[in-house]
Amino acid sequence: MSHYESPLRKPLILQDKTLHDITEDICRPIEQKPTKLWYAAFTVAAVCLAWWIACVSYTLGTGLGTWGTNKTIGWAWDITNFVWWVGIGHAGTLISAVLLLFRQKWRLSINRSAEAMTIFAVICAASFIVSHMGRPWVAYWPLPLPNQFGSLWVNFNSALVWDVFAISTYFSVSLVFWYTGLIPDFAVLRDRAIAKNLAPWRKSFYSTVSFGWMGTAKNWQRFEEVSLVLAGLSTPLVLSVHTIVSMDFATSIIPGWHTTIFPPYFVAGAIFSGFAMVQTLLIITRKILNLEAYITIYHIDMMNRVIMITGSIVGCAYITEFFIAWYSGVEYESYCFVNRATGAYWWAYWSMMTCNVFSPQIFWSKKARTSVALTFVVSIFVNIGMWFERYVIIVSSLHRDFLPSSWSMHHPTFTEVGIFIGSLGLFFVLFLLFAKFFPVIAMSELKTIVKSSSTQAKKHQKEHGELASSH
Amino acid sequence: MSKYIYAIFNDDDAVMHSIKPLRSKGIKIKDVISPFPIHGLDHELGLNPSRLSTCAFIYGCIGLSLISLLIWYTMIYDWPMEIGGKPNFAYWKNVLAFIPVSFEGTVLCTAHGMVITFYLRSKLLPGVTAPHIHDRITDDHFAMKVLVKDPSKEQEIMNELRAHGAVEFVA
Amino acid sequence: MSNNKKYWKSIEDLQDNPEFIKKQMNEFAEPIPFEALTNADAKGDDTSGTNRRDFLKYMGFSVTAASLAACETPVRNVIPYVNKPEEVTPGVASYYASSYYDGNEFASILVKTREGRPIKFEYNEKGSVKGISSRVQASVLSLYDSARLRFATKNNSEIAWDKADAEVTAKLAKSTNIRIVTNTIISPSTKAVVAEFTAKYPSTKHVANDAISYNAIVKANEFCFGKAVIPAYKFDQAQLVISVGADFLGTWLDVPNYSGAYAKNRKPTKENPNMSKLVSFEAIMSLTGANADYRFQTKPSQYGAVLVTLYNEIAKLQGTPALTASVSEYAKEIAALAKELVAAKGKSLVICGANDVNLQKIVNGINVNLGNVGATVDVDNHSNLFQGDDAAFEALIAEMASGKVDAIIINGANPAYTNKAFAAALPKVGLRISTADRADETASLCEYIMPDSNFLESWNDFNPAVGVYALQQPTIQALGKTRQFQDTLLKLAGATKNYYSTIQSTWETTFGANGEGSVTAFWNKALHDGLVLLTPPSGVTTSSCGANCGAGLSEAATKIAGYKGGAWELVMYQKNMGTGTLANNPWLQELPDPISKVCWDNYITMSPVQMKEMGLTTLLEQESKMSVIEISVNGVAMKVPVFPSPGQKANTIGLALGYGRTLAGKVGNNVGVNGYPAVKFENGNYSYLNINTIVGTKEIDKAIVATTQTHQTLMGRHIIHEASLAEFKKDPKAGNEREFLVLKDGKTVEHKTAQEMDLWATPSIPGHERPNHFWNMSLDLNSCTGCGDCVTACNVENNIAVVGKDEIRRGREMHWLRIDRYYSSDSSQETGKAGMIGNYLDMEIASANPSVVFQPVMCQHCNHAPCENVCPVLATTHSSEGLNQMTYNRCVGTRYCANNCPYKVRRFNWFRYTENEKFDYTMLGEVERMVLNPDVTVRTRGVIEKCSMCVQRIQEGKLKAKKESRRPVDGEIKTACQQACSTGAIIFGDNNDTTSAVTKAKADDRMYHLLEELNVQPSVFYQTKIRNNEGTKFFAEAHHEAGHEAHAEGHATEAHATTEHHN
Repeated sequence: MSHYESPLRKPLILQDKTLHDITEDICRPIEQKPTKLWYAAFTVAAVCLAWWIACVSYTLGTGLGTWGTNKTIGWAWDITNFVWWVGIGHAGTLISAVLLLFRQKWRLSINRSAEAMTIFAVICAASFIVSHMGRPWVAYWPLPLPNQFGSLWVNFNSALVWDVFAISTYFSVSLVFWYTGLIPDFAVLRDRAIAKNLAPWRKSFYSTVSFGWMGTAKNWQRFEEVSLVLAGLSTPLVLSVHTIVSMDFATSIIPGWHTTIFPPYFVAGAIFSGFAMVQTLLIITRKILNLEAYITIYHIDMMNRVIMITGSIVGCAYITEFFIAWYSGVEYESYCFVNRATGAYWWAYWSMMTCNVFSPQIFWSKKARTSVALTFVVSIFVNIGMWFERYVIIVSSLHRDFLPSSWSMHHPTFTEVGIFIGSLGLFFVLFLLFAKFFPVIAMSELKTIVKSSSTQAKKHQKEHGELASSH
Repeated sequence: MSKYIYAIFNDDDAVMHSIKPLRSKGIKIKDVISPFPIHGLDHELGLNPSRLSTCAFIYGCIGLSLISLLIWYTMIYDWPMEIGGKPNFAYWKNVLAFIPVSFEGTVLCTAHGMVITFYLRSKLLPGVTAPHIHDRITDDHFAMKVLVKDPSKEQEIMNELRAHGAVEFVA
Repeated sequence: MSNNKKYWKSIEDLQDNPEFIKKQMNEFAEPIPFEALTNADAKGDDTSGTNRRDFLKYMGFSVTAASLAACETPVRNVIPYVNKPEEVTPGVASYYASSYYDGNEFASILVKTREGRPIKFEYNEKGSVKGISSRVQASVLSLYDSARLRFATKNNSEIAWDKADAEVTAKLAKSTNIRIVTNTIISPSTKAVVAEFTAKYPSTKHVANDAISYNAIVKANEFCFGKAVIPAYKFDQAQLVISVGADFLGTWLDVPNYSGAYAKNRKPTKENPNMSKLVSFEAIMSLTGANADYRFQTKPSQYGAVLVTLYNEIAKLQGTPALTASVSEYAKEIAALAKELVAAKGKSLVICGANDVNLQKIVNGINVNLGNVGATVDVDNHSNLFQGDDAAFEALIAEMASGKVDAIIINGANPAYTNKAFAAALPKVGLRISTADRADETASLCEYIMPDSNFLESWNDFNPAVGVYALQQPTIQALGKTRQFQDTLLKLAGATKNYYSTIQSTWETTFGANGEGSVTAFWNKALHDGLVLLTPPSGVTTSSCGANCGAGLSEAATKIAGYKGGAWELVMYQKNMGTGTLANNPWLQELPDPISKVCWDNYITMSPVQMKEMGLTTLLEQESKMSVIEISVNGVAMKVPVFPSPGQKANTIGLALGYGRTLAGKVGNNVGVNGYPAVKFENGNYSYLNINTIVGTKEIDKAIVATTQTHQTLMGRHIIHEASLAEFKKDPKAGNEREFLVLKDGKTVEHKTAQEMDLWATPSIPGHERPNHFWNMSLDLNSCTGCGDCVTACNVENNIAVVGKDEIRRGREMHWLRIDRYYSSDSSQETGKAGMIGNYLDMEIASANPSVVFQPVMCQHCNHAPCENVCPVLATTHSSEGLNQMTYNRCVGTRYCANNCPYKVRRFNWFRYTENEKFDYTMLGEVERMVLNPDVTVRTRGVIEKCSMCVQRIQEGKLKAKKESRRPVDGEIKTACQQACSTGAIIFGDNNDTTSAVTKAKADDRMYHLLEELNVQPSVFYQTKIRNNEGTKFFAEAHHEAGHEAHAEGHATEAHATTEHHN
């Protein structure tokens, strides 16, 4: 009965796709020359990347004085961007791991690119960890490495060391998870290259990266076991990572940072921003690589629901913060939050509220949820809003803390802004390369649901009133 | 002198449902190669359940003990320091601060340990090349690996297989 | 991998030259020709009664080194260290007693030298001042100032000294009207030299000119007491001080002397809960006003009225004849004051800052009537400073303009900068010789520049006050081909002897052996001590006015009655920069002004209320520029940025002098605006008050003004604990509520301090004990006047980078120690009516006449330091002596610690200040960087730094004690800031030593920890601020803001109480 699925469920694969069609559709863009659209996108991204390289080198060469930070505000755009990117990363793991555990089949056509997004986002995040350091050339010191000083180790009390462990674990585990999933699909490309006798580099490249995958019953048995356990590990991992990132702030004593609700609030925010980014990317991808049949309105609808829920959770978190600040009666806390909403950074705070809390509410209406254009717009809004959330938390808390004598303001320099825009370039360059050379949809896994969730299958069911089976 | 032949199917259900009857007819089905996981196939073939999850657990335990040892050695034993007035001179007193890293360390070892085991056990390594049995074996076709002991019986077996949905044969 | 390279020291070494190998056996290449030294040392030894043996050694060396340097002995070079002088140990500092005098300030100092380089000044314990001012501290950098001339010049091109001497002598011989212009000369020997020169050239006249003149006081004293002197003011004996526009805690006359003495009466204790009262009438917010118990905003044109009214009120009480009355807006308050003054007869002091002889006469009258003259005003043992005669100088300018003068020699003074008339007249003089150390505004107008040596390269003697004689000795060979002024004069006078021998002969004639056995013995002792104090003749001779006094006073009073102020009045004042002599000194430029906290600039101070009315920007923010307006003072127009200064009297503005130098050097050029042209010669003196100023009412431009503190008020936070003296007398804990409430169970509550609610009770944690020392520091908010001398001391001691105006305004100053200045606000959450948000906005606005507090903040060395927890790489950890240590070379620069520091005292190296061309101040230049302290690491780019509690000094002190196998004595180890503080507001010591001063301070009822509720358990703590401001009702209302503030504080405390309740 493995194939049975209620005909009432929306099909996840449209346009009567057969197994072979899937292979064709997903391999075609990889085997053909890239489209004009791809070239255009890639050029823009590459220019941003170049700008990133320029700004980062200037910073590394001259010093952090090239940024707008000062004695009071030690972190600003750097850590804002770091948290923003890490947050975005989380959706990937979430989709592939959590939805796998919940057996959500609609994950299958989006998890591959979502995981890719995770990895690239974490790379961007890591770049900020390094570039925000005063002495990036010793960026490896926070790792517990034996060194010439013998007894000189790291401080396991520091949330930053927790971060180092969390981020590196998260990155490497996501990477193997992603790669393991890719192996069978590489095998597909390998065999096609041989069958169609494509360029030799393809043969050798794809046969190398597919690690000699056969697809024997035992292979698949182990493959599924590994995926399941990795999913089981990644779920608490992804939660722990953003919990720990939030602890960078929560374990400090700065009013506005020293907040116990940060872990759940950050995790919700991460899912929120992550799904928004997935939307942004997939809406572009399905257009560029015309994959409408696999990334359907239904998928978009599902993700919009997640965005709406998490957005509301984040909204509750904002309100809770205010309540606690008032209820605690701690003058520093209460001032911090009054200042947040009405002080010098009110604009940042209210753009955050508008983008994160108000804009997703539109998804209560199905019409909105299923409109691609609107979804795209809102997803951009959410990305902006979540950036501002981190900016508000970091800068508006630091700029007026305990002693009024040290109160200050932060004004970004072109270098700071450049590095942020540049990091977007870095991200999209990586993503576009991925879209060009890697299968953006997990073919092998998707094929498992052809018999249950494709239009073809549904038709078949209607006709025969029974589950599809061999002719 | 015995040999293997690959019966190519084009439908996963056909493969699934033909295994039992074929075996009952004494045909030696050694393996099935498919472009995607077919659920329950391992039962049909009578494979032993995978023990990777057990390995994972063991790796986890190793990871936890290693990371805890590192923390204890560096923070408590080798060179205790006064850090923000925290009780850095007894592991158990300061353990709260060590939980996050301990957890991450555990996950790190578990995940990588297991994946590496999987790759090695399944001989999945860069440079390993797989035999190219059939063009569409990773696309939409399925191969059943059958052992033919007695060449004279080959035709008979093929017919049997064809009857059960095999569309092609590769020697 | 082992390194088996062979490094050879020289060709001989390489060739295994036998002779060389033999040499190698000896420790020194050649025998040391230093009997001379050791003899001198021995001589020093047996002739000194003092037990400070180290001084003795240095003295011994200095005598010889000096004589070697001064006499025509063959040895004229700095001795290379292959022949190590016995007294100089590399790595160990040598101290030489010397003196500092720049025409404005005299200080008896110890020069700290390392490997022959003078790197820091400390006060001389033999002197009366137990601190050292920012200007003197910073002046060590003048020695290494690359703007100094390295050789004599003629028309800006080098000329050999002998050639120059020949030419000049020839020209002088022809001259018929020679003038020598200097700042006030307080050196007997220099006077002798000038006399000798005059003997050679009889047409010579000497004119003294002080950049800032106090001539009116001199004149008034001459008139009243027949003594043309600046008296000695004894603030330590004054219970009630009334200052009319005299900033005696800031820049007026001999500040370090005054502030130290003044602070003696400002330390109320449980045993003796009394303190003096300070009342200030002033227009601008000066340090004195900020520290005053009562401050009355008064227009400069009203200073006279205040004094006359005061005189008359006192006269009324004493039944003596009154003077022509002038109306003062504070009649009631002054009447009340008069009562207090008369009550405190002989124990009070009235001073006035106006350089106007009429006002000073009235001041004298008041002090005489109050019996202060002879008690708190000592005219007999007067000061010798500021002898410049304004009238004489004006006469000189007239002469010069008329072309009568045909030769002029200028030293010390820079009149072309301070007096535009002089600048105009100077070119009319035939032979113009300057002995400035650089081609400054005046020197650049001169034909010959015969550069003076720095005072650290020269000999001199001083007689700053009656009975006080000081010596100045060279601590380093002249860095350039310079020659000290006196030697130049002697040369030109054709004398064969040099200045050193002149001094010796002067001293021999003045003192003889002075009870030291032999002249040499006395000389050596004097040189060793740096100071000779003669016991003043007992019995006061001057205590009353001369005969014609009364008439003079009434005449003065009638003149004063005629003073009518215009729409705007201008006060020209001094900042840390002083008169501008040290304008090329980056340390001074970057030292925030005590009141405005502005660096690298002067500006117009104006009442923020009026600025708003005029539509000028009052927003202080790194990127927002201040409005520039045009003012016109006696015909001179200036464009100056306006800076809001709460407490400024309406319709008055202030402008600091000493800025706008054009030829000071790369640092000081074109910083701010030169205010001197606004100085007017009226009533026979240069007046620094212009009561008729035209102020442009609209913004004509915008300019960046860099300040280190952009927020002015306390926002109702319990950061400053303060109480009135009355409250303190009732309860020594007043204003220092330190208890927090904890909910015990549903109903009852119990009182607990933050410390009692500690998660891990510190002592019980193994490894957190303080077995050896526990270094603590106490900062007394009551004695602290906010002057900032400690900040400079810290900068000099700890190699703190100067970052310049642009970085300052971005909030990136590197100062380890800062002084927070807070104004009181009229609003608070409790009293405000504008709702929570509105109240917060109101609380950001300072009162119209605010009470001001200064709070020095450095690293608090928290024993539960938030910064330590968050550092990923253990770059900051805690020592077993309670110090929060910073390991620079481990720091990776995440700045997490700085973010998590509640006191925001951690500083980040945003650039590589030692190599980045943008920061050409104290670390970049080859010469400048010689001033760096070798005991303190120069921090690299990208690391965090902060106050180390001068750990290098702690280690030095511990080592010294260890070598003498004893514990360090309390007070033996001093931090740089503590050492610089003339008011003794900073106490540092070992809390494990139960008898130490700091332990006592910690136990004091006034002690509190900053932000105690965070329970970071700092090792630094503060002492409550006590204000002596109740008494007569008038005062109470005249000063109601302070009352408000105290009220608000009180509420804040309760608020705390409830907060803990909820946690």
